[in-house]
Amino acid sequence: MAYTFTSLSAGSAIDRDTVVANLDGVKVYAHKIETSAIEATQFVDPNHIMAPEYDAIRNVSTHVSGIYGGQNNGGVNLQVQFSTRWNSQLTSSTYRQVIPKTSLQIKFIRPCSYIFQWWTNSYSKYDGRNPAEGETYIMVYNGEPNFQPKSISGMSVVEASAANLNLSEGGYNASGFYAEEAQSAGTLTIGLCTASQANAYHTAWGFSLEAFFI
Amino acid sequence: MSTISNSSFIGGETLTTSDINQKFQDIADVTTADINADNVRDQSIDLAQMESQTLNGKSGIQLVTLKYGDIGTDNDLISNVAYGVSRTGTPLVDASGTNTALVVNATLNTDDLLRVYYSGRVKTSTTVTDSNSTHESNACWCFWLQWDITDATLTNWTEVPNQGDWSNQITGSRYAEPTDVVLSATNGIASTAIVPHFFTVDRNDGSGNHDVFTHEKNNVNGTYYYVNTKASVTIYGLRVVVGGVYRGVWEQNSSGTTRRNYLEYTTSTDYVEPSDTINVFNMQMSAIIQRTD
Repeated sequence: MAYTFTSLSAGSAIDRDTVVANLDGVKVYAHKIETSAIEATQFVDPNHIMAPEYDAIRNVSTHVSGIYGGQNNGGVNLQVQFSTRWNSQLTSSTYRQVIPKTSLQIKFIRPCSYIFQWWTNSYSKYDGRNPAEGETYIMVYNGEPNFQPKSISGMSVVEASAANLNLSEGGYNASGFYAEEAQSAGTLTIGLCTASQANAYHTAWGFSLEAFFI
Repeated sequence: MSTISNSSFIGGETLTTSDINQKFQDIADVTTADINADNVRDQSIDLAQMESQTLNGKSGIQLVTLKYGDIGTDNDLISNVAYGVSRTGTPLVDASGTNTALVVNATLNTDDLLRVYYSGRVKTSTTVTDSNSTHESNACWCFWLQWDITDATLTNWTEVPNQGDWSNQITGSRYAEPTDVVLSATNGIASTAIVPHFFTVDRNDGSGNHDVFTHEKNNVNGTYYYVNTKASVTIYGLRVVVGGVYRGVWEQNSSGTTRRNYLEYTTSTDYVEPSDTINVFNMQMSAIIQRTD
């Protein structure tokens, strides 16, 4: 509501206490403007809002509205990563390793909802070992890559059944996402992890994170 | 404007209660729905001034709702259900055969943006052989979205806007505008994700023969974006249906003038056998509604 004051009665002597109370009232009111005091039509422009902060190393920008970040690897920046039987158990998809250069560590300054999206170009060559057509899983991890009971956006890259099919049968485009409806303020570590029964490699990939504060 | 403008007392004149009342009234006037941009300095508005939610950020200023959940079979890497050929699609079910959906229960207001993502693993099976395949490998299965905007019983499903249902049969190798146009125009498959049914590989032995392969597993990832330019609707639920087998074609319209690319349901044994299936594992879906104005 608007500032309200006590009127002095017309024709009366000016009352010192009333005047002082009104002055004090203005001071108190100025510390907490209420909704009804503010113009109802839109008047806040982009220049009024706190400017975003951009982190060029992680390619992450933090805004009043939330956080957006993402990275791509491929083309002239080619950095192959591997998902192999040698760094994960053959039969258990619950033992997982982080895929390097696919993760972000983000500090949320407010509770939020977020969505993480990813894609990869991956291949799994024929290796002549058991299991035949071994499967490689790619999943989103949230904080901890190992021992997750759920698939969490798990996708597959399956080993080619013959050496001459490495690029056709063994080649995959995989993509997925993970979303969280209620994430507490704090630090989130999120990215891709893998478990493999074969020897897969990832030639190109990308991922992004959108977090909403408001 | 909210700048307080009042006149000073004049020296030599008698001060009245009215003069003093006016001083305070000037303050009251500019604090009656009148505080505006004059009171906001550059970059002075930060998160502290926003009505953020204590748990999830869904304040409605930008993010109206965000839902995430499983559809289809259990959330593991093993459970799956086989789906047969179907022109107009079959909703994804759980292991007991019950239809599954993502419960949304949110209003999509005019000008709001709906973003939907779904992803999962699949496995196709075919008995098509080299003897009847065309080596062109453009047979596919499609996944697409339906929504229920009627009530919370989730029994009134229709295709989302800009998504066709393949119910029109194309005859004479010509599609009939406008009834079939939803299948031929890009915006008619707005929520569709496509999975190859099989692929062929030349044996490279001089015979000219090809082998037919299916991927041991494959991935499907669907996206859908829709800005609601119509009246507000309540989205009670979203679900994914799977249909096929379709093939890509480039055909003329009914008057034989315009060619278009589109997907056509097919029963040709070059592309599909009646017993062919697609097995669908657990899928995950997210629906996001954002304000755009």
